[in-house]
Amino acid sequence: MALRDDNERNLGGRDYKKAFGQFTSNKTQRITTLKPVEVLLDAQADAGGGVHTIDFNKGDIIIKQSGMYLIIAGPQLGKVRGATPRWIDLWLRVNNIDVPNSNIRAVIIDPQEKTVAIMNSVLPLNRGDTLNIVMAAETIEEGMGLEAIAPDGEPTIPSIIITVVQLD
Amino acid sequence: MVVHKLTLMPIWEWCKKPNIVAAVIVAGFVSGTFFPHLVSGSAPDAPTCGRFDYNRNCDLSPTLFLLVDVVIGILLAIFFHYLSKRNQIRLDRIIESQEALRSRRMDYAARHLKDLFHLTLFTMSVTKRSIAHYNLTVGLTDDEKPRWMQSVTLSELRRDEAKLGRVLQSVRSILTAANDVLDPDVVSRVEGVCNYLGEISVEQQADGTMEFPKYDVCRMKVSYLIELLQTYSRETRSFKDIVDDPYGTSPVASESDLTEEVKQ
Repeated sequence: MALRDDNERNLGGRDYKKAFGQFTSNKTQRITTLKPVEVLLDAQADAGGGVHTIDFNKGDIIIKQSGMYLIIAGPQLGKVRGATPRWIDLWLRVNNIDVPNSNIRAVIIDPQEKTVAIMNSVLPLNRGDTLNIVMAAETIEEGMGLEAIAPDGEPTIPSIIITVVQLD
Repeated sequence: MVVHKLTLMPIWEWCKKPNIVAAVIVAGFVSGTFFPHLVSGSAPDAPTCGRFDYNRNCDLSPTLFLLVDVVIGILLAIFFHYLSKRNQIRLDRIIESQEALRSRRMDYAARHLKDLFHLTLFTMSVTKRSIAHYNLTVGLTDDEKPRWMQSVTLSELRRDEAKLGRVLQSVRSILTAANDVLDPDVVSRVEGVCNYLGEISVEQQADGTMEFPKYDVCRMKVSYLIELLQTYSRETRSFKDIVDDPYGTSPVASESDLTEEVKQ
């Protein structure tokens, strides 16, 4: 089944296009449970004239073409209260299974601190696979999570930006 | 008087008897090893002996000795060739039967996986419908016997969930049994869907209604997999990769309101 050659993948006379997608969330997402929480998405960039080669549904990014993918996520982290340094972790989950070695941690000290933690990974994904970004925090008392910011006279800062690019 | 007619057994039949074969090998070995030497030492050479003379006065000449060796060599070569060919035929038959068995297993696995995922899709739909029925009972007055309706629908829900679990278990069993014949990509995709569906369970919301989380995504994943399994060809024994039209509509489209459908 693994038709990796581009010539072979020219199915039905159509040119094979590598998949790509950029997803964002314009909503602030605070962690309210100590269990891992899936990050929700609410927008997909219409890059390339409205071509969507990757889908999304709430927090699920759905792959439509099998291949090797580069995933880059930049969550905007912050908290509401407290001056104690607290950690917040983010990692990848594919088909409801946590991806090993994809976890990153950011420590936030006070509510004024805004951090973008970069998470990147290369994964082989199949058609129909679902990809999620999952987060967990040290405490639920301080309103930790992803923050969307709307500065005056500037575009909105999304709470997370995820870029998914098919490599082969 | 009974006359027994003796018929000669064909050489082919002789060759099938292991004892005869062993005897021929030993005889060939002994004759090839000792006979020429014994012969060559049987008598002194007379000066009148020709190259191919062989009698009381003439010893076996080197040329004739070489010819005898060549003949023995040819006979042994033919014999060994026959043995190797016979073994090769047997090996070919074994390989052929194994290949046929492998193909049958692959056909069975592909067909059965497809059927099971169709069943999964059907069971998910039934579960979703049961959820919609259950949710209709939330908020009913006591006169309308909501408890009874809820308990009935809830037991249906649990039954459907258990059925889904059994179907997924069957899929995993097939994967275990046929993972040596199925394409690793297919195995990983099926496993991915099983892992995803295995983690999904019906959840009760704060307002008392039930929800099938990520139903659309589950449905889409199963549909993708069925699409793949349907491309299985018995001629090539392979699956065909499918690529969507990037300009097509999203498969994760919102479904028609099932609650409205159930009400009707």
